[in-house]
Amino acid sequence: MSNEPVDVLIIGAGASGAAVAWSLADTRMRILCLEQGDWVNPATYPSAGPGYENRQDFAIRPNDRRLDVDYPIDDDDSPVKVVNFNGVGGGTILYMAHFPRFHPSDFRTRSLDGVGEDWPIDYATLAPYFAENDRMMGVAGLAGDPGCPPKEMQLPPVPLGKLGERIAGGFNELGWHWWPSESAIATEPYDGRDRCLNLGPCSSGCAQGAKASTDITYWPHAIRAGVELRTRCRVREITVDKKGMATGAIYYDENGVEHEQKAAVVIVACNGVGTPRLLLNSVSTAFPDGIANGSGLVGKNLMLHAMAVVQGQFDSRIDGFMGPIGCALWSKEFYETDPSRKFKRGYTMEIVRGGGPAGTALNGMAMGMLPWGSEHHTAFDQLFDKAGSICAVGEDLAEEHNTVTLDPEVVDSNGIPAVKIAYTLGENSRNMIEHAGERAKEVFAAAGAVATSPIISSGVSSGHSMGTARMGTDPARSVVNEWGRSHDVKNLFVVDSSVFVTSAGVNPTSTLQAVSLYIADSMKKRLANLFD
Amino acid sequence: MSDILASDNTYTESERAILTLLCELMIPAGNGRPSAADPELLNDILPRLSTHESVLKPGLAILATLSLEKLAASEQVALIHQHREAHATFFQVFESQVIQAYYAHSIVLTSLGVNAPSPYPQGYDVQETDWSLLDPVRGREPFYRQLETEE
Ligand SMILES: Cc1cc2nc3c(=O)[nH]c(=O)nc-3n(C[C@H](O)[C@H](O)[C@H](O)COP(=O)(O)OP(=O)(O)OC[C@H]3O[C@@H](n4cnc5c(N)ncnc54)[C@H](O)[C@@H]3O)c2cc1C
Ligand code: SF4
Repeated sequence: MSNEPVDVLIIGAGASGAAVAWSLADTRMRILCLEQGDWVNPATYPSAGPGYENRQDFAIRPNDRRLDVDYPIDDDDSPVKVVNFNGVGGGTILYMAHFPRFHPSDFRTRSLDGVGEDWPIDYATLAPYFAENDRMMGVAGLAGDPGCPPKEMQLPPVPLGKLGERIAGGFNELGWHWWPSESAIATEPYDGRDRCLNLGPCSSGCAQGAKASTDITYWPHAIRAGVELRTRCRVREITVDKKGMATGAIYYDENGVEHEQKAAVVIVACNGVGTPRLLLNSVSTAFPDGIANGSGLVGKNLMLHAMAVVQGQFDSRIDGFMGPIGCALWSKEFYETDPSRKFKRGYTMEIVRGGGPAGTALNGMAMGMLPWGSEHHTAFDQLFDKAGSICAVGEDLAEEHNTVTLDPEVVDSNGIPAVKIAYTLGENSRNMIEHAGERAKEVFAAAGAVATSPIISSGVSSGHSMGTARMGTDPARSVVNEWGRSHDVKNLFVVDSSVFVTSAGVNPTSTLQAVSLYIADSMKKRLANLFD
Repeated sequence: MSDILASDNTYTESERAILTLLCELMIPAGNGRPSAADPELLNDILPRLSTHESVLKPGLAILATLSLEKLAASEQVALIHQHREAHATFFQVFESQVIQAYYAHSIVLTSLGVNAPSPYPQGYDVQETDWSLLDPVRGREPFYRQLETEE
């Protein structure tokens, strides 16, 4: 393995790392990406083999997977549990590919609603990068949604299925907005990917290759354009010289051997938990509190989203296990601030299809709805393929006490300190969750559901980690500037959702990839004076 | 059945008998589906239970004292219910392993109309969507907040 110096070192090959690598490739600079995980072979995805619902090695929580490429995340002190995937493609390997964009108002929450902070950039700045990212990922949807700014769609929408149609009917009954979800799923062949076969369990990887994970979207293009991607390379720290400029990184290879990689520019793309971890682990005389942490805000302002989940039960089978589990329809009825409500900002309601047989049975057993004995099968038949959920993804306001910090006791398989999450839902989020849960119940009632679950907001999972290295123009109040460069270290950039200033009421990947393409373009435009 | 069980030495014969009885009590045959104690199913269930030996063995020792086999089926289930709370960990592990094996078995999946053993490569045909459902929404004016800089 050659550790010759490179022009650009990218750390992390997930959603944002892939996008930035592809975009920078046309500069012809020498670009290297170090990724702690492996390439994943789609033939090994659970949906291609027996026991597909319960494969531990594809569990969404790293603490359940416990692969040596994972790092421990202590989230006992958080009602929202952190999920991710560590490998080429990052979280997109397991994501549900629900692909909404942030709304224009999400970038202006302080001026519009007096909460959070305004971003130093706006929707208009990102619009061309959203479009470019959509073309690279391939977005299925229907143009004309009155709840969102206009945009082009590459592919026809994911079919609603019986479940989606029942729920859409509920929204119509109430006179509320709904629209087919924008989904990063090839509903027709797209850019060498085959069409979705409606297998269902997208959140354990897509064996068909229809879901836009970056190992099959950006990476093949970036590698063809000359980017080098080195897997099983876990970065311990970013190194600096006496002048406080980044000089590269120290990493461990698959065999635990330590390497030093020199680079002129370092780009961090390790996600809202992995990025602050790496920055805080990069301690030097120049940066005793971690690199790029002059503001003291690295790891602070963590936003995981306020989520309210309600499950609805129908009296007939609804094909709920068929079709992309997280992509059917959304409602923006309660997205924007309404002064008559007990909270500022808002949420998107998203439909989650039902689980498979094992998931249904495990859930039924846990909820005491699946007895032992002669009633077992009848009870199971009442549950299986008759339930779906509404998941409200609510804007979570940035609060400094919500943090990612280094764990003083726990380390990963290379001995690098792991992380602790400290996170509470603020009053605004709690009020929003209650509102969203009640509205979800109304939708199910209008859709003819025979029963609904209580509102679930604790113990829910989030792969949406944002805000821990936020963007801004004031070095005392932000970690990176308005184009992603560290205020303190002029050749160090952050491109993932750590830089988010607000969390919006939507899933983050479309926006974080647009942000990373925008940062890459900002770098390209300034190549001659990048470090000024 | 003994042929199938012979390959697994984790549990003694009497422990295996209790596990088999528990499988039968938890999921008997019905609604066109086999019992979890059916040899085909046990073949998948027992290896899973073997990986939880340390949790299950102590519970099996307690259950052995109940002489379950001497009771009528309804009494057996009633007795199990009494013990479920007191030995919560044993039953959680047992139930979860049985469910994961039972509801992943091709016989069960097929009877439920689910592709076996896995969704891929057949996939599913989802019914075509009738997009006229959207007509009430299509008529609505844009209602996302439009900002001056965006216009
Ligand atoms: C189950 C699940 C469902 C989801 N569903 C959706 C959805 O429907 N829609 C949506 O928008 N989002 C969804 N997400 C979130 C989405 O996956 C993330 O927003 C996205 O992947 C984040 O991109 P990223 O580039 O910031 O980080 P990631 O994609 O997480 O990539 C970071 C990469 O960095 C690597 N890395 C970290 N530390 C180091 C180190 N020290 N050295 C080397 N490499 C390192 C990691 O291994 C990883 O591959 C979901 C996530 C999960 C887990
Ligand atoms: S439903 Fe479609 S996108 Fe999801 S895993 Fe199956 S083929 Fe892939």
